[in-house]
Amino acid sequence: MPQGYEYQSEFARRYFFEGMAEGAAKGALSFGQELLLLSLSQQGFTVDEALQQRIAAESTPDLLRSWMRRAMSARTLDEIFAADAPPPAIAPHG
Amino acid sequence: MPPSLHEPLLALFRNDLRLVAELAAPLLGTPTDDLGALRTFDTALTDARPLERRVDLGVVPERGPVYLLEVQLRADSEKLWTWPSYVALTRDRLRREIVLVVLTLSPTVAAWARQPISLGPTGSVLVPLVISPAEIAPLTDATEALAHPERLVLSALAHGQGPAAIDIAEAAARVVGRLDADRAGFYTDLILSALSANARAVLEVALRQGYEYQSEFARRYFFEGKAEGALSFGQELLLLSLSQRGFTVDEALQQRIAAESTPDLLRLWMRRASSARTLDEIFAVD
Repeated sequence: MPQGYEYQSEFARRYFFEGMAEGAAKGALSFGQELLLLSLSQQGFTVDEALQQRIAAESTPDLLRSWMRRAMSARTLDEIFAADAPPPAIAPHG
Repeated sequence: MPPSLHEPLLALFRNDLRLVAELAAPLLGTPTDDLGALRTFDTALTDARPLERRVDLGVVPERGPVYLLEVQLRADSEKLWTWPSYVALTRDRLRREIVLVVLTLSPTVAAWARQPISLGPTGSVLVPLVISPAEIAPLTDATEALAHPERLVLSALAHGQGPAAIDIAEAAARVVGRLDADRAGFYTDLILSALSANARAVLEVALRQGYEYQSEFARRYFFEGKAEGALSFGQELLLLSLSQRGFTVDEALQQRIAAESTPDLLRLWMRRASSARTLDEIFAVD
């Protein structure tokens, strides 16, 4: 496709471009999560079930970027993940 | 119609180097089964005035004449001066016979381009070979269209408003979903933009129809996108990790990483990047 080519037809955009873009976002996330886990285990961190799930559930590329960056110099898992702790679960009423 | 078809049209000829020869051959009375391997050549013909002396595409078969292609969407009298120079310079450089092919979608431009260009008072002339909608056969056979998708697109651009439009749309409906993702979207878009409203509706309905087909179709593009997204994010994370660890990544290494299309290698590099002390420990062995 020539560089800078813009889709003229709404139909073609939906059927091709958006499907691919959606796939690209999904692919980026899951490969990013995998690379992060790889890197953590390579550095000798023990990633427990909860952290694994937290990483696998993370859908923000920016957060994966900062985790990966911190993972390169951190000495503890807390240094990497504590700052972005998930909000505490809402206590049930009563 | 797209704002300018110049680049999209040219992309068709770059994607299928045989296309220009196949269109020109019936008009020249030459065979196309003996072309051998085809290559392009650098189309900047002189160093002195490269911008003014640039032909759109040059295709060099092993045998037979060399084709210089000009995609010409409107008449431009300047070309009557530059075209002869393209031909003469290429002829001198390659020592081959040259055919200047002018491709246009407009009958008016075709009539203008067909006029022999006089080079001087002794009778020397340059006669461009013009390919206009009249020289492009409407492609309505799905099997042939699948083998020559560029010709299908060209045929839609040439005849999308004419009586063959519906048949072209039906052929396209059976072909576009089977092309690789990059061409499928681009070509479908060109075809849809070129077709008359009725023919466009035929193609859109056909593509939407059949849940199974459609989902298979959508799934393919989704997965192709997924692989590309994974690679580029992986490359980015690797670069990020390297710079975070204080490594200086030079241009060459940057390019090597950006060109890497094997997820396994990216996984390996990332693992090593997490503990290596030198870049060599990460990259030297692969």
